[in-house]
Amino acid sequence: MNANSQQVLKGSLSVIILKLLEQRERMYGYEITQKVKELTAGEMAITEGALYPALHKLEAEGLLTTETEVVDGRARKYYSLTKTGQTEATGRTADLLAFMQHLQTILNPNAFKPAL
Amino acid sequence: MTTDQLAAIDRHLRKDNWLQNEALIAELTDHYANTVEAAMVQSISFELALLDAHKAFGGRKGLLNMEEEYWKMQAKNTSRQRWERFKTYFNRPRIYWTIGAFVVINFLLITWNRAGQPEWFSSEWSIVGLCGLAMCSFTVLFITLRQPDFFIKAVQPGLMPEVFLGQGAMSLISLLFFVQMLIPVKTVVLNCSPPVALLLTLALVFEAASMEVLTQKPRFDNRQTA
Repeated sequence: MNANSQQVLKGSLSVIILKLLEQRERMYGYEITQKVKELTAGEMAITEGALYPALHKLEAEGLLTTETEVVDGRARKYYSLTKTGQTEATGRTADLLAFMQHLQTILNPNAFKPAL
Repeated sequence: MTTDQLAAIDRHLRKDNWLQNEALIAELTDHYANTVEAAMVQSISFELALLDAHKAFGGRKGLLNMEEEYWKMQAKNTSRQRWERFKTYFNRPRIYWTIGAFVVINFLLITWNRAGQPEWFSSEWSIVGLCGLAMCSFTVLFITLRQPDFFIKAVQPGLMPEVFLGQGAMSLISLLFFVQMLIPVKTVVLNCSPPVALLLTLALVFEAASMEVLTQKPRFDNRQTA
C-alpha cells in the first residue's frame, strides 16, 4: 500500500473501526488490524501507530466502551460500541459513502454521464 | 509465549522506550505478544519479531507520542464522564438528593449567625473551618462507601494524587469564597442565602460527580480465557 492510500485510510480509520465493531460486538486492537487485512486480502494494512490513537479518541468521545479480560496470562482490552457509537457508526458510514460517490463523480465523470 | 518473553516485552516498553502509563503498557503488551506470536509461527526469532513490532509503532518516538496523546484522551474521557454524571443529579431520581442538599444548606445559612449564636461560631473563620471539615468528611465518606478498600490499597495506581489535588483545589475555592477580603461573607449570607446555597449545592454535586468518576473501578471481566 503506497503513501497516498495510507493517507486516505488514516482519514477514514474511525469509520472503519466503528463499522467493524458494529458487525462484531467487541474486538481488541490486534484483532482489528488482522480483520482489515483479511477483508482486503492484504491490500490494506492499518498501522499500529494510527490505530491505537484512533481507538483512544473514540473512547474519549464516548463512542466506544472498554472491558478487560485475562487471556493467556495477559490483560486484553476489548472495545465495543456505546449507544451513541452505534448511531454514529451509521451516520459516519453514510457520510463516507456519499463522499466516495461524489469523489467518483469528480474523478471519473464519463462513467456517470446519462446515455443520450 | 513464555513468561520470560512477556517480561522482555514489558521491559522493552518500560525501560527501553520509557513508557509509564500502566493501562497503555498493558494494552500494548498484548498487541506486541500477538504480533510476536504470529511471527514466531513463521519461524522468525523472538528478537526480530519484537523489532518488527516496535517499528510498526513508529519506534520510540511513535510510542512516546502515543502515550502523550493517551494521557490527553484519558483526561478528556474523565471530564466527559464527570459532566455526564453531573447532569444525572438534575434528573430523577437523583434530583431529590440535589433538592435535599439545597434545602439543608439553605437552612444552615439562614440559621447561621442568628438566634444568639456565640461570637466564635458566627465568625467568618469558623464557617471557613466548618466548610473545610464538611468537604473533607464528605470526600472520605463518599470514597469509603464506594470503595471500602480505597484507602488501604489504591485500586488504580496514581489515582490518589489526583483525588487529593482535586480536593485541594476545591478547598481552596471554598476558602477564597469565604474569606472576607474577597466577599463580605456575613452580608452576602445574611441578605441572599438562596443564591449562596445554590452555589454551594452545585459545588457539592460537582464534587460528588468527580468522586464517582475517580473511584469507579475499571470494567474487568474475570473470565480467564485460555
